[in-house]
Amino acid sequence: MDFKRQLKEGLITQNPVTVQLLGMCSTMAITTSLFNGIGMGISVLVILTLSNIFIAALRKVIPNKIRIACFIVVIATFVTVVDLILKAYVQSLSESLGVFIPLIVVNCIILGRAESFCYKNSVAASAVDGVCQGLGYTVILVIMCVVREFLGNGTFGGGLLNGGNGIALFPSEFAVAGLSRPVGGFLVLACVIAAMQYFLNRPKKAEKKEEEVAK
Amino acid sequence: MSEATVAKKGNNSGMLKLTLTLGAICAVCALLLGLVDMLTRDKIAENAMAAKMGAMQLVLASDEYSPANYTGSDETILSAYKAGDKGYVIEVDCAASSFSGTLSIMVGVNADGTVSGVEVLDSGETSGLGAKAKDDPEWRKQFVGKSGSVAVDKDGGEIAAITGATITSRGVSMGVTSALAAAAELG
Repeated sequence: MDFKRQLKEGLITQNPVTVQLLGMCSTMAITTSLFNGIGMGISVLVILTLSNIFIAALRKVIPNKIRIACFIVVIATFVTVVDLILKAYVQSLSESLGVFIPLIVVNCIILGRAESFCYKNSVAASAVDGVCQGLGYTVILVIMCVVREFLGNGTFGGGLLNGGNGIALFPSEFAVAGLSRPVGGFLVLACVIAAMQYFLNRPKKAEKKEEEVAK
Repeated sequence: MSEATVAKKGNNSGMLKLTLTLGAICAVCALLLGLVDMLTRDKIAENAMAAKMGAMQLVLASDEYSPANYTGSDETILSAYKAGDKGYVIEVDCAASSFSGTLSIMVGVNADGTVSGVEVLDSGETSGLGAKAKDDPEWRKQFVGKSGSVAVDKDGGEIAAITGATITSRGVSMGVTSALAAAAELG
């Protein structure tokens, strides 16, 4: 188990959203205010970690033939648990995320990690994987939220700061309303992925240059 | 059953094992869900009630609300409360006439039979279109003071429908009409 490597994978080299391209639907749908992004990110992180632990613990019991069915039952259970807890104790978040909490059941990140990681790795490694991949998802959500909220609404920290309205950075009539719509989600996500790919590919070029210099 | 017979019936027992494993996992999950539901149920009901009370205060402010016994035949009336001597607060389920299948509203009716306010409690309408019925208080203000039968402009009424969401607007109007009728029946 290598925590540092797993964290780096979750955040950068194997980021669930920008590299594995999983969970795009929720990424584009809910990233309209910082509160939504953080709330959704933490919900997915918790569900992912719990279901990872559970599935890794049961990986030797679950027969190969029905593994997907077992994964979905486990995931759906934890999603419902989180949904009920949010409804009871964080009602504002439950209201603003609405149907996207129950839809975490079909979020590919969770099923993807269950299938590709937990079914083959130990409980501890799977728990760490859940936290790291969840963090990777949350970070991308927060980036998307900050960009879309700033350009689309002219605010920062909507739902959290300044009594839920967010801090106004410029008057909202100058904002690009389209960016807080789904089309803005596609555009911002594309830019984030492009930036990430550029960032990921850059060190290789630097290495090549160094090699050339060495020659 | 001896082990030899198990081996012979490999296929069947394999199937049995699959069923039992999945059954066992489901049972554990169901148990967990039951437990969480038990712990959160009261709190969730409390929150729903608080949201309802909040909406009641918004549509027709009153110090006390007492449940009124609505005996009419309109099945879309979910509940009715008497707001002191100020009038009635009626909860209407508009799902049948909504766009998405989830729409319930709270309507305040003054003692003189006019609308005092409308709030959308639960809505599954399209974000940015029908959801404006819930998100845009200015739109709902149109209903204040109306009485009798309420309809959107396309149907010859006075309510300006939300652009792109005529069905939702119509659903809310029909709900308000039902609430007015129910309040009239209650007296």
